[in-house]
Amino acid sequence: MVHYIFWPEYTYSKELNNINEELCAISIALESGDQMVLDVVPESSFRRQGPNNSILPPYYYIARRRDGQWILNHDGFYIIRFVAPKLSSMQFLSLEPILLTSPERQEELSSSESIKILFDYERYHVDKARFKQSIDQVNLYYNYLLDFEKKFPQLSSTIQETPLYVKSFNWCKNCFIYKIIYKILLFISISICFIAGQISTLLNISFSPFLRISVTARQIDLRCQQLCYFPVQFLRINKNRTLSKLLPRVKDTETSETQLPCRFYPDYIRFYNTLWLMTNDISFGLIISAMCYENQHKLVNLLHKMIRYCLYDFIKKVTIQLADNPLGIKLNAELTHFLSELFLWIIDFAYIHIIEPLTGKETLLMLIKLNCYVMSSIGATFGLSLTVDFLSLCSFHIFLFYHIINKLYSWQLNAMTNLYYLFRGKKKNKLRDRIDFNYFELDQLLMGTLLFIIMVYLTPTVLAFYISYTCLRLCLIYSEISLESIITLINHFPLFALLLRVKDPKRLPGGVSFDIGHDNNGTFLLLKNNPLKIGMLFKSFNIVLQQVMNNYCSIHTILNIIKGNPIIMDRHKLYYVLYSSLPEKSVTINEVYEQLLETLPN
Amino acid sequence: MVDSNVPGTRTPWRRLLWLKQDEYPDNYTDPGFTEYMKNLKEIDFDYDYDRIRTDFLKFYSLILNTCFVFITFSGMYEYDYDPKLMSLISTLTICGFSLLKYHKLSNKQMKSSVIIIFTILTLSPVLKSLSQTTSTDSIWVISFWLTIYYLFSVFKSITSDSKMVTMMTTTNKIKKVRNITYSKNLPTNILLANVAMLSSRLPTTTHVFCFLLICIEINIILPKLLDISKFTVSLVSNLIVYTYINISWGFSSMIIFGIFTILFTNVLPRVFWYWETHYKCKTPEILSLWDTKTPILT
Repeated sequence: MVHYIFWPEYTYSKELNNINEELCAISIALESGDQMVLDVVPESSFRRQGPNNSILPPYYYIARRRDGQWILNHDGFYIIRFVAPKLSSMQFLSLEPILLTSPERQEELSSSESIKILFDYERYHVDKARFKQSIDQVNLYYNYLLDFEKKFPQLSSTIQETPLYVKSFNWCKNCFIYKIIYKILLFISISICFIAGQISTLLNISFSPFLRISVTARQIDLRCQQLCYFPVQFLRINKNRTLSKLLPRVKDTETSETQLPCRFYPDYIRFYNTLWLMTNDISFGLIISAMCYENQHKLVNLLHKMIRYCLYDFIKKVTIQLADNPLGIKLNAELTHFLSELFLWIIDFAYIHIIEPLTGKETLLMLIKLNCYVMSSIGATFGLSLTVDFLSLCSFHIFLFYHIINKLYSWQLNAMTNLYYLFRGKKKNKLRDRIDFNYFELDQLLMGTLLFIIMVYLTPTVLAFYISYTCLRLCLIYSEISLESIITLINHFPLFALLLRVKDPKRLPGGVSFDIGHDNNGTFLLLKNNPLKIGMLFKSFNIVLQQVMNNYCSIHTILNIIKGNPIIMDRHKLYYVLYSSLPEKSVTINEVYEQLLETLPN
Repeated sequence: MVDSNVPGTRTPWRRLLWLKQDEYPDNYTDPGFTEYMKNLKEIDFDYDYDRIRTDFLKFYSLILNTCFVFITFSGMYEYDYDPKLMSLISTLTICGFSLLKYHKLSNKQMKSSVIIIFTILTLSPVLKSLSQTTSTDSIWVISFWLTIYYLFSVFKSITSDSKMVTMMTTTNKIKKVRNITYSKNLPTNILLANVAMLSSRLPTTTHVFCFLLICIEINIILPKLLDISKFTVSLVSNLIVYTYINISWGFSSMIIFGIFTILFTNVLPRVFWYWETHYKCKTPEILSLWDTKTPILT
């Protein structure tokens, strides 16, 4: 078995300053990890310290430098150099890509069943325990170094001063007014969380149709859940702080994963991402509402004309056209007459009771003002979701048309397939799920055939209506989806993570890699951090995009339309992936409250 | 590995595709192949001319029977015959025949005929308006092709009937039932589709009802009651068809039709028989597939 020594890169630059001096390297090795060089000290100061045995395990005197050449005290070691990540500025190394989604949701997001089986397969299991331990050690390098310097102050080369602002902050923390403000803020946030939690539970009552129908309700629910989750996230980040203070005092062993401070960094990223997005949302809302408010009269005129034309005049024209041999196709006169009468009646009904009262110029003006108000006060997403809901309410008749004609078509298709079996003297065997020969009586045969022929001749008529209304419905769905995708972008865009990726890629580790390097000491490996790929940040967006493509614009959709399966807009199924930064079950408010109280300064 | 140069050590090659014969290359040709081809048995085809003629006659009488659809239709459409009278005559005829055959009408038959009549009664207004907007020319074209399709499917059903007779002696009864259902359903349905198509051109719902009833009686029920290729039945239908052609198309058309009939019933069977016995390949194994058609699983 090969042994490795992890050697921090910066100690090399330290060597260069006093090139002629004789140096020795002190390393630390915990129970199961590899050796890690902590510091390089001048041999002279090391000698001053006393005899060799003054350095006890876990610290070791591992190498010394003679004439600019490092000589290891033991053979069979291989050097891996690394740039030590600064935990204080939230950099760290990780074998697995950092999770920007909630861990309990990760299961749902992960890829197909077969891949999972493959991962579980014995042969693909790699024992990474030791390497993981070493990486954890590397992550905690500065903590160990601090610990070492405290223990052997004579050997340490730098003495860290506590900065002034930290001191003043600490003084503030103990101040009386600070405590009062803290307490008041805590109670306000807890009460907000409580209200948000109640609203969210109310909306999530089973069998309640709000979340399925209304986009606004979904948006309110999302915002409430985010508000509820804030204290939990805050606690986690805070806990991490207290932990990091404790860590240097942990002398040896047991730096298990649960104790590592970097465990809570994803939470930190998520927390600030959500906060930032909410701020963004409101600023977008302010911009849009200002624009709308300025051009409200033009907007009213445009909307008034557009909605009336698209949802009333155009549809009426299409329906009348369908009754009058469209494109020269000869349809069955009686059925077309009946269907177009029915649909025209629904159109008129919808016009009188929904479109006319809702899209009158004064009503529209009022609605736009309301929308502007909502946008500027709680965010653009709410205004947009109100718009989507308004659109779906106004186009309710199209929804009805589609479902009526879809039912008719699927019934006819079903009857026709079964009668076609009869036509060929066969019959579907439900018990064995196959098609059998069957002897039919003459009367059965005649009746079935007559019905079949009638259906066949009526098919073009139903099909013409079906296709035109399906197209209308699809157009509507596309427009709704495009608006909703803007909402989801504002709600879930990984802005914070993206900027972190640009600013400091070390804070978003996506695994490690090794480079081979050479110098006068020979060949060594260089441990490098692979930052998270940009694509990984948008993974959930990709999944949603793929689902939308699969459901609404693919061959699968066309097949479904031909088979007469209804196109359903299940928003929950479509967008649940995006909720991955939220926990499945919200934490009870009491727990959060108690834990928050504990963080109160005494 | 068996040495391929030494004959006799390996299993003899067999002319079967589904056998896995790894010892032989893919393009292996048996040395005895030409010998085998030379020694193929020549089959002497000995067809029964009488049976061929009967089959042709059967087909001819079916064509005549199909003509009744058009005769009835043009009677109503062109010559304004009273549809009620026509349907009454045909219904009485059918009733008479069925009484003759079954002596007394059973409950089941009554029920089925009542169901048929009421179905037609209910659906005739729908059928009348079904393809009303379609132009008359397209209706004629569709009807023409449906008739052709009908004749072919009927012909197929006759041939599968005669095949079935031979099968009955060898295989069990279930197969027979299956064969019948296959052969009879399709032509019936195509005929009905054709009739439904044509009925949209008739003036009233009564016409449609009577037209449907007559067509079903003559083309579907009548062939079940009596053998339409029998001499007397054939004579009656010939008489009606020729009279109709004489009236509507004229004497010369009737002569042409007659010539065609003679050719079809007398010359064509003879030519067919001659070709089958003299020009058919006497060693069908060369022409047919290399293997027997269904693999024998061992």
